[in-house]
Amino acid sequence: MDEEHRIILGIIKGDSRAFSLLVDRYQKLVFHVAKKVLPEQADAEDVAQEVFIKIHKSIGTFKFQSKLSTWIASITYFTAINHQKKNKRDFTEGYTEDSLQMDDGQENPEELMEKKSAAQYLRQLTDQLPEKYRIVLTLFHLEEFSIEEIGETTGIPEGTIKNYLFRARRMLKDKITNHINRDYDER
Amino acid sequence: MKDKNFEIQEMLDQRLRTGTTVPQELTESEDINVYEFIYSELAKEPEDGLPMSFKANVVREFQAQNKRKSDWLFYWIVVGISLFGILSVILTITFFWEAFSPLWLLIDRFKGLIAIALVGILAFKLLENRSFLSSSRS
Repeated sequence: MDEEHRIILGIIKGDSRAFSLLVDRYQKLVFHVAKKVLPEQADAEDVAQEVFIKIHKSIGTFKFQSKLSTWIASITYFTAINHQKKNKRDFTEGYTEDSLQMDDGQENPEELMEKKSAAQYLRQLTDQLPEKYRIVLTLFHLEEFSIEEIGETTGIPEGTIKNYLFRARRMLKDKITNHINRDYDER
Repeated sequence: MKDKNFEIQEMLDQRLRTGTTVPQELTESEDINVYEFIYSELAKEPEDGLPMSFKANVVREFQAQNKRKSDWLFYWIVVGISLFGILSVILTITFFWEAFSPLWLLIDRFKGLIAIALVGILAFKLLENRSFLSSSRS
């Protein structure tokens, strides 16, 4: 029996050490997913707590048909989406597939670059992406999920996930290239 | 013909998963540096995270839920045993009604006293509750 099985059995039996191990192992994943849907720190923390309580209540229904991380990420994603709906806080609402132009925010990129590093500028651009783009980027790059696992987590078809990944990365590349070129021309 | 961006992304995805090297013709592209930068930044862990107390709070909630669950189980067992006891008494009385006739005679003789005792107990409990409520308010 592997460690994951042992942790799950421990939680079912009410062992708080097993639950503590599960929290240690998956709290980052839960927070990263929640934060991509809900940019507010307090909302993401609330959802993270709710997710672990849901995991405790429904761990007996986990049948090992998928990876535990995929199952947990899926619970987190849908809990965060429900939280967002309840609080009506979708920052990218009204976004359409045709409007593939990111808003740079109130400040122009030059001002931002003066103040912040390229990495921070990229993070700002990423935060302005639609929620579905942000979530697939996070699961693919940060959590190293495969396309299939992202599909299991979010319910988005695999072809659409590939499309979101490609478009999101291309948008980021175009924005950063434009910015670098403008910065270079000015100097 | 494949789009250059698509080719670079495909190649970098492969490198990410299987560790394959990027072909020479793609490394000459200006875009690859920007893409490599994007890929490395997206894989970095964000600075903000959960507070230190998060795990302790969640584990405490887990323990509280387990306690509530075991308390409920205990209450259900008590309810079950009580119901079984009451049912046994009722059935015993029903089937052996005649055997209890001296008891019925005794109850019949002192029914007034029993009624007064019951009313007295209820009145005492009522007064006790009222005095407890008024003392807790003041």
